[in-house]
Amino acid sequence: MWLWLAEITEGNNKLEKKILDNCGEPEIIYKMSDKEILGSADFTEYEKKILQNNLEKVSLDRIKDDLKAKEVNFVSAEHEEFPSSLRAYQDCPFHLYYKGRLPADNTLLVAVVGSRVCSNYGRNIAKNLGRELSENDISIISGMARGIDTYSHLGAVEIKKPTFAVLGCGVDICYPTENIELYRDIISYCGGIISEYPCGTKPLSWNFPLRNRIISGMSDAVVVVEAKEKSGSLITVEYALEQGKDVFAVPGRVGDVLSEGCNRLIKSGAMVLTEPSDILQNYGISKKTKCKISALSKKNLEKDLLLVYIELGLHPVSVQTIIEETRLEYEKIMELLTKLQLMGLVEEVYQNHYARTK
Amino acid sequence: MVTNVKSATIHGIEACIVTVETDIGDGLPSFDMVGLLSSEVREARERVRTALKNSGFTIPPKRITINLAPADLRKMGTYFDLPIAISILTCIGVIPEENVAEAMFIGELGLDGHTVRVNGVLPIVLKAMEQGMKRCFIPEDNLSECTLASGIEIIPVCNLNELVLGLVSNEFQQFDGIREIKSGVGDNFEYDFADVLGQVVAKRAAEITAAGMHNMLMIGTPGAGKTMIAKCMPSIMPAMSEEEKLEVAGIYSVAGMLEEGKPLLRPFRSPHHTASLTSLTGGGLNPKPGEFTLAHRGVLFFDELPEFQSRTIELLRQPLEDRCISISRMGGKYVFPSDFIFLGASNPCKCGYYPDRTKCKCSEIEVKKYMGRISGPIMDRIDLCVHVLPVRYVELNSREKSESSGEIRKRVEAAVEIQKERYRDLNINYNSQLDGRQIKDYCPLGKKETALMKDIFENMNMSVRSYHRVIKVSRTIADLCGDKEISTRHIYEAMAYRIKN
Repeated sequence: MWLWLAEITEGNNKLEKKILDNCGEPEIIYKMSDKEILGSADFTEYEKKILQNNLEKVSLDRIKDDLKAKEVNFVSAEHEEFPSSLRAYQDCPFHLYYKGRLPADNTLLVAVVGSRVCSNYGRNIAKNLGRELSENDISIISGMARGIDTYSHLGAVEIKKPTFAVLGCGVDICYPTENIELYRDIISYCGGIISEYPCGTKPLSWNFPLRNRIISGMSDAVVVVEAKEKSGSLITVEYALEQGKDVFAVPGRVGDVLSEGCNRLIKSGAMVLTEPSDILQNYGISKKTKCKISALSKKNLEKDLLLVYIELGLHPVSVQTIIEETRLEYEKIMELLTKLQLMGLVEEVYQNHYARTK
Repeated sequence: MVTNVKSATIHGIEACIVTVETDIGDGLPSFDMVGLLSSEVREARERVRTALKNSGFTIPPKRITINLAPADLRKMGTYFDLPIAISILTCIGVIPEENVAEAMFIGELGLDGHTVRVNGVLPIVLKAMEQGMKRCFIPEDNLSECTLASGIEIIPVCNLNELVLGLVSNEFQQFDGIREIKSGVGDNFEYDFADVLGQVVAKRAAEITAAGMHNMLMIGTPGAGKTMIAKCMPSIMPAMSEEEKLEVAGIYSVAGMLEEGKPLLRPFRSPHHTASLTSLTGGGLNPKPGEFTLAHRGVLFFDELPEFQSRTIELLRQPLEDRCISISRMGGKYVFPSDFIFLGASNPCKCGYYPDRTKCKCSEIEVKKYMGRISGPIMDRIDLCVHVLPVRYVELNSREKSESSGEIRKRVEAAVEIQKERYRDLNINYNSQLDGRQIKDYCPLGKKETALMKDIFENMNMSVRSYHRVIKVSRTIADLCGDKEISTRHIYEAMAYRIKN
């Protein structure tokens, strides 16, 4: 019955609430005639249109078959599998669709969010965070959007640990499409793709901010890796603060457009995250592995190599700049850079632009 | 009686000998011309008739028939005014027939009998020479371009009267004061690397490109100096050999683009990205060379490469592969030479500032899409790729003088010599032309170098193609250094120019 309700409201939380408030249990609503439902509350034109459309179309049996064929599961808030962490909130979804599985109630979930347009710096940090936290049995929950979200999932998937993605479209749709490989990996490594919206819902822009409340609601802490002054990830932070979650922010350089949002969060009291263990300590977890975002193993490097290496950071630097800074011969610098690349310490992020890998 | 006078027309960029036959016989007075003539040739009738009249000759009221042989070759252009006039004058006995034998006549006539310049004289003169003719009569204004041809008597014609006088007495005033097309080496170049400040990496890449006849792609922010570097490119390429000069001058002669008094340098062509397909390949009813051919032996530069339509970029395939371009038209198949260094310039993304994230707002997908407009097969033919950064104030004001093109060219020329010597048994001249098997034979690697390449290949996610490219570029770098063997140093440097996908 909950499934039927979800389908006729197209997962619209507000609408669902309206109907439930006015009519009572979904079983009762199911038995009501279309006219009765439409007349039961003060619906807006838009809501009426949705209901009218779906009341004619939706058939419970067909939907059940469809979900089965697509290997999509459905839980209502009353079901025991439904994440208990979500139940506490006022605008908690009444149901969830998911592929793969839902996180067990006792796992620690950390939301890693950030800007879609990210720098190499943010990319590396998101990936390392994903990897290091997963290694310590903390699962990453994020939105599988481009940029930071994707890389945090990738970090977890890389070491085959479960990670959870909450989408703003139906769980049968992979958005953005280029993440199809990640989408499959998340499911095959015991993670889950989760959404409040029925199968086939297109990635509509107004659904995305709403799914952020599920991300923050399910998580125990939210980490913002890179966010501009106005960023969608700050919506997640707002939800998190409302819901009383811990908020961490990864600091960036002052004046760096991509980190402005993070730096402001820190200013207004967010916890600073410079390495994954900051989170672990917060939850009293002892580290399984040595975790550090950036490690400088200076001692192991020859003098020349070090000279070039210290010029590099997580932000890509052009060869031209390295030449000017080190005053070494150009051929020599190329030799050192290639050596560093072969050692896995440095990568060529873009044509003639180099950055540290760790 | 029938007289023959030799002339020629241009077919593509090659000259074809045409014989102008004139017959004057009895009958109703007429002046007929046959021989598959285009309208500009047919109009020659009026021009010749008037020019003869105004030069003081009377055409007899007889039946005049003129045939341009071979009759199956379409005649175009205005080369035939002069030979037709001479042919008529010979036929009516003004000029002794033996004086026009073994001579070639080309030129357009004005109504008062003066000559007008025509395009493509140089290939015609060369053809005449090849056919063993003794003299070539050309419009005075075309004289300068013919100075490259030696071994044939070239006689400039100012007007019809003067020419007839000369032909009657068989005495010609040799042209004096050779107005030479300066063959350009030295300081004739408009752009010189001495004016390019900083840009160590890009300049070095340009040097390697010139030395091995590679192709290069420059990526960089707007205003970084990509275009400037490209324009300097011809100045560091080795000076053209006599043969090459003739080729280039011939092409430009046909295109009517030889400018008097300007030195003949390696061409630099930079078509706009809206250029039509035919303007690049060449074409038209009587196909004229396009940009690909005009860049022959020089540089073809595509600025803002991703802005070019994919169809336009795809056209590059044949010239880059075969070093010529063939086009088929109604009149037959034409093959134009197009052996050039291809230079491309591109912004890294739509806004132009990637990977500087403080300025660039493009998403990674957009960046990929932008560069993705250049198709894989074309990217595969680009050996070097560099990122060009804008010049900084320190460099702008630095007192250190940049190396001039002349100095760089010396090194390039030495490297080219080494390559010529190495490939004398093959039909290639440059490292860039090596194929997979030849790389093995001509670019052997030592133990240390093999180990390094193996390491690079396995750890840096390299394709076989890009592996070959690194070795070819290493070979050129070694040649520039004057080293016999490729050493690890060269490989390390070559790695900088690898295309990062």
